[in-house]
Amino acid sequence: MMRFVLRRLAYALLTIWGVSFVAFIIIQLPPGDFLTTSIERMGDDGAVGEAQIAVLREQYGLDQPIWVQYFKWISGIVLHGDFGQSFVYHRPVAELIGQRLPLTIALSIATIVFTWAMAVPIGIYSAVRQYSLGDYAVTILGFLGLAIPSFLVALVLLYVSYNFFGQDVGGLFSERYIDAPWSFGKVVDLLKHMWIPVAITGLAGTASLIRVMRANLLDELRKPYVAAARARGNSETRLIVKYPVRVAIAPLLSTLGAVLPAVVSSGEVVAIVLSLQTTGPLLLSSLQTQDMYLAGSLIFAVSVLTVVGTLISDLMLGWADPRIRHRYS
Amino acid sequence: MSDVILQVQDLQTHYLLRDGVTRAVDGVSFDVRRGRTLCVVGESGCGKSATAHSILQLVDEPGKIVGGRILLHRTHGEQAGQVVDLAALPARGKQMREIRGREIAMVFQEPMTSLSPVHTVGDQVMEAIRLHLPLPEKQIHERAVDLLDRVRIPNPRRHMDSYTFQLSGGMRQRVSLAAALSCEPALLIADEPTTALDVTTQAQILDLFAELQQELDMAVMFITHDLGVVASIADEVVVMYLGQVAEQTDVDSLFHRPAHPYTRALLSSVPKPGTRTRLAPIRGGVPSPYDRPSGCAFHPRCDAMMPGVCDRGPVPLVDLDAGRAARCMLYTEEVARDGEPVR
Ligand SMILES: Nc1ncnc2c1ncn2[C@@H]1O[C@H](COP(=O)(O)OP(=O)(O)O)[C@@H](O)[C@H]1O
Ligand SMILES: [Mg+2]
Repeated sequence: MMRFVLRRLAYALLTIWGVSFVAFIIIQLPPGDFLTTSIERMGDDGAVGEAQIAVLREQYGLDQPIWVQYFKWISGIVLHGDFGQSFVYHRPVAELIGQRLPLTIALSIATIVFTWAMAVPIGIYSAVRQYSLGDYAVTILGFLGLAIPSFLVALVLLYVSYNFFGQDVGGLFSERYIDAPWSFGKVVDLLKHMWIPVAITGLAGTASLIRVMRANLLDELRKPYVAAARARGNSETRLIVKYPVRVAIAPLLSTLGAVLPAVVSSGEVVAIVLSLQTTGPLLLSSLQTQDMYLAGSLIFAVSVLTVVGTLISDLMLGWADPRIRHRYS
Repeated sequence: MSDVILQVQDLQTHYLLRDGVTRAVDGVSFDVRRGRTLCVVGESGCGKSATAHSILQLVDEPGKIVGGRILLHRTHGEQAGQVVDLAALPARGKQMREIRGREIAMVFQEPMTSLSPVHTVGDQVMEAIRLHLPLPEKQIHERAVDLLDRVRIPNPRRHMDSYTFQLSGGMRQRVSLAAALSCEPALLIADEPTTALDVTTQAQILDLFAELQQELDMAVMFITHDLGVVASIADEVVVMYLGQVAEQTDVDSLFHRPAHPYTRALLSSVPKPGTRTRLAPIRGGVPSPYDRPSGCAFHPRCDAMMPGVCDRGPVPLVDLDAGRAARCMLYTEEVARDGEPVR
């Protein structure tokens, strides 16, 4: 198991390293170096001293080859948590992300937990009661959930609640908590607001996970080891949970990592519609204004999140399926 | 007849499919006795597994026991000494669960798939003990180690933590056997347990069966399509054809004076040691269960077929001597009177 964990960790670090290159390239993409842009903007506000420009040039190593620039950028992040400056907000990127990234993480985790908590029991039910009325109902609802885009659900929900209940479901906090420091009340308020984007974002994922769970479990239910366990005198419930469900869930665990970027990006769409204070709307506006340090850093942060998610799901898969774990020992 | 553990009487198990009914088991009767091995033989698809699964109420949808009785003489629990009809018990009920793994245990055909790939050997061997015997955890563990030792798994203590994908097919079948024997059942049903194994491993497993049966004084119902296996372990034999008993006999008579033409055909389709006669595969194939031949189900493939006799009306199971019986018109009174008895 140890070797398996170490190996997975090494892969994850390598991937993050690769991702950092991509993020750096994205930052470098707009024509001219970013200082030109920055100086242009500062120029709007007033004169910029030659000396100040020289200091900035030195700080970012702009006169040096590209790999030195990359090195300065990445070591700033790793050693000092310095992601550079946002030109639009005139604040450190780290500060901007620091407010929103935890909310994105919380929302994504809550969405995945919601998805699994709904999909696994429903999938089990509709496999065990295959072709029952309940199974058909689940199937139909599932297809609807898959077919309707989440932003549409968000819009409809916004419209309905605003017009018929006079209530604004947008945002993640009530008015009075938005700028308040963290407190128990603020957490409760967040949870109250969070279920709506969570349910909307998780809808499609839940529907498809139910299909996969049902199909996997149907395959497993017919395997002789299930009959063998039944022949030993297990009760039906105990038997199904202990054997075929365990086997059917294992491959789902490995999709967790792949689900994460989908959750984050569809969460972004929902977040924009519902104007949530997550990273999604920030990323969109930073791309529109070519606020490249902010955009690159956001992409980097969300990618790292995905890699970490994949790592966790790989480890869980190794824990759930000894065949995977033992392949490496 | 106090030695009888199980009596199957006129068992009928049908698969109710959309395009019709498959009569997988169509009026099968036999007894299984303590300390004896009953072999159930027949070509694949003749209803051997369906019979075995019926006994433990393990028949999968859309299959259903539609008639007959399966009488178990209970040896354990509160109802020891009583006789229960398993065919009448609810498949998911408590009573059936008490019997499964405790009084009747089963070993399945596929060693690759009849054990869970994600649970340890120990977990699966200890499961039945945990379910049926009120023992402290430590004793359950020791008992499982002892069982692995008895089925000749080397280094049993270490293999408790092994997974089945780390074991060979023969080893897995030993593990299945250990799990089945863990509560010392009165009856062991083995559904082609050696079919998927190579010849050497097969011989070892058969020896193990015979030995453990002696030790535990169990009744064994052993399903196979291999007459070599029958010769090496059977006491009594039931030959099945298309869901019915074609012949019922002791093992010596099976090989020395087979009664049913189907049995004879089976025998001449396998090589005999020391002879060089040509093998004669049975003519034609097993008919589809959807269009059963009228009359004797075997008549289209039978060398002794009597036109006008064998192809009409149901054929009774005729009692012969010494508890033998054959479902064949040759032995019915009318034919035996008129023609030559072919015993
Ligand atoms: N799940 C099933 N659905 C429909 N028919 C089945 C099913 N299982 C078995 N049968 C039918 O029952 C008959 C007996 O099958 P089985 O008992 O498995 O044969 P055997 O074990 O002797 O090879 C076969 O004709 C087969 O077509
Ligand atoms: Mg079979």
